[in-house]
Amino acid sequence: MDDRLQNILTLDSVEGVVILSHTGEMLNRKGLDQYKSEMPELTKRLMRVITLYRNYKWPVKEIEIVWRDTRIIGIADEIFILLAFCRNNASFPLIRMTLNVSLAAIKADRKTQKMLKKMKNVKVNHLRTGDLDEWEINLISKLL
Amino acid sequence: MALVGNLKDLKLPNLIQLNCMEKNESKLTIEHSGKYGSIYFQNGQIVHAEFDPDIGKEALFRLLGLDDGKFKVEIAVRPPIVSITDNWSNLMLEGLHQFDTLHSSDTAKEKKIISMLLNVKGVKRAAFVTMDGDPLYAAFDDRESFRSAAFSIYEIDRISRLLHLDEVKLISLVINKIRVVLSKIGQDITYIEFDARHQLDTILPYVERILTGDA
Repeated sequence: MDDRLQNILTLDSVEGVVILSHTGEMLNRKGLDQYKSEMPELTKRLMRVITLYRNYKWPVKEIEIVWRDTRIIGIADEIFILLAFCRNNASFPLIRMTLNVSLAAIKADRKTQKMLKKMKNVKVNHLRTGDLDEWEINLISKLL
Repeated sequence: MALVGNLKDLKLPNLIQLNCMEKNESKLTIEHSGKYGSIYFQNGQIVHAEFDPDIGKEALFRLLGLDDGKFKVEIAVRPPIVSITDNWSNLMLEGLHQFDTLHSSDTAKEKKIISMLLNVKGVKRAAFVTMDGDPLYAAFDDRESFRSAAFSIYEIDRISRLLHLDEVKLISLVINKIRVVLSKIGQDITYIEFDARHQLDTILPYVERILTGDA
């Protein structure tokens, strides 16, 4: 997994890579030291969006968030979410392709398979009412 | 020889009038933001129009809303089907009336943006949604999607603050063969659904131009 994430980090304009599990646990991170303390909160918010669509619509396969100078490109499957943080002058098709190839390789890795067995029965509700603010509860309640 | 030009220089109503008055059997093709539309003429009437995904009058009325785009008129082209039977001058009045009504109401700006977005290649549906997830201007009602959009924008706004980034320009989510693109305009959200085959980098310039009013 380390090598795969390191490979993504070597791509031009990529500033960091993060891999999350469907439970919202950060499994690995390369770069982004400046955001180290913000990562748990970022992960929580992102997992809410992904979980919302999975619960009420369909699973999210790709997510991209575009700011003026920054972009987060993420690919997701039923187990992992692999995110690349890049500057807005990056070669996005190359990054997307690399993320797809890397995620497939990470999943096939023996160490990952062991990790998956441990995670198999862990269930986390990212939309638990107690963790949401009034606005979020209001929006979620309308979806029920 | 085909007549080619741009709707900026020769307006669509004039082109239609010319073909009908001349009783041409012809095909008028319009390219706007990578999307193609066609109007067929026969015996001095408009007999068929198509503008993905619409055909017939709906397609014609959407085409009448375009004030920019390359056009080509080809003579002696037969229509593939007849989808319009109304008199051409009545159709023009009806279409232009619809267009005027669209642009004179309180939500004219939103309607115009939606109308322009629907003309971008690959766009299936578009709507303006409030931050509460209620439709502000939408030609369809899908509250689940609107509320999910509002929730997503809310969460990503929090991420922007957390990372000290400027306001998010847009969010793209690929779900079930659909690419949902969300963008905040003032206090409202633009909700756009594309066919997921259309790459974000291809559609982004068109969407940005429309949303920033540069189109």
